[in-house]
Amino acid sequence: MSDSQLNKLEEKYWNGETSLEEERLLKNAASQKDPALSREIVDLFKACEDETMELKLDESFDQEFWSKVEDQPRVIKGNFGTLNFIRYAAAAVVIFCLSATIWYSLGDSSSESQMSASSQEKFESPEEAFEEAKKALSFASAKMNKAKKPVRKIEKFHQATLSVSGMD
Amino acid sequence: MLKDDFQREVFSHRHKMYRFAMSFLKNEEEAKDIVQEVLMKLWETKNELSEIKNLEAWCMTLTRNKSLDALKRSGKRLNDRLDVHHEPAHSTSDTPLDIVAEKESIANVKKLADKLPEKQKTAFTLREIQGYSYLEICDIMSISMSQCKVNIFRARNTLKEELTKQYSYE
Repeated sequence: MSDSQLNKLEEKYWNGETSLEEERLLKNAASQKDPALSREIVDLFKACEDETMELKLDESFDQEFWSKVEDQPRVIKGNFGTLNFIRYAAAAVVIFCLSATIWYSLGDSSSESQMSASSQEKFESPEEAFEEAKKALSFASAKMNKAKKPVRKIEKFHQATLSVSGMD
Repeated sequence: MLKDDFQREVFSHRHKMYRFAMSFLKNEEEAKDIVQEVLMKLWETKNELSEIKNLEAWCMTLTRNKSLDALKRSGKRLNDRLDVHHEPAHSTSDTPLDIVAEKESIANVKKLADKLPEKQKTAFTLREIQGYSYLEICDIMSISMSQCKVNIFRARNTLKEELTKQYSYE
């Protein structure tokens, strides 16, 4: 790099317009004590370089840090476990309360109806009871068959979607 | 984040962090403690570090904040601290007189740099000693680009003017 180029670069540096790359060029020239550069910039870079070169942590720092870290996981794990336990416990309590509320609100009405049904339906003979049980089962079966229909429709729709998308 | 990732992405910046802490504290033991404290804090939160965009900048920001806190705690100002002198590397051709002169000039520049206002000094250190880009300095110092450039410009010019003044007396 010519003297005039270095001078221009130095001017740019003082104006805060240099890039890191240009500053690297300047520092390189300053380290060789290029006479084109001012004494100010040479001394400034020398001081900065000195700060960079000399200050480094020794190996004992690394060892000390990693040995501290080795001791750390147990503590972190404990804290993390406790925290998690609190979170899970809170979630469990909330779920328990919700389900208990739902259970009781539903349970009350169904037990009431059961109570009334059991109190009303007292059969005189086993035949009568058998007939009633048959009726109840056929009613349940009819409902189940009815529920199967939309499921079949959904299945058909799913098959159609798969064949359209070419996945089948 | 696993230990290997932590070592590569965080721990590898320890020397830079140390130099940065030293630029505030001027005390090797205190600077070492700060770096250890910051690294330990980062290790404890290693699982959340993946959310941080620029980990190196984050390391430097924490180092700066901790160093300034330590300065505040000790009740000293940034430029109150005693200067630490390191033995600079010399070429074999340097005479004892050259070596003394160089040591003096380095100590002189460092002394002048220590007198800069905190923001100017931090921006200057990050640029000249740590070699960060303007954008990274903005990240570390949480300042705008124009503030960053102004701080560096002012720091450089203050140092230049002071040195020119001194050399004109020689």
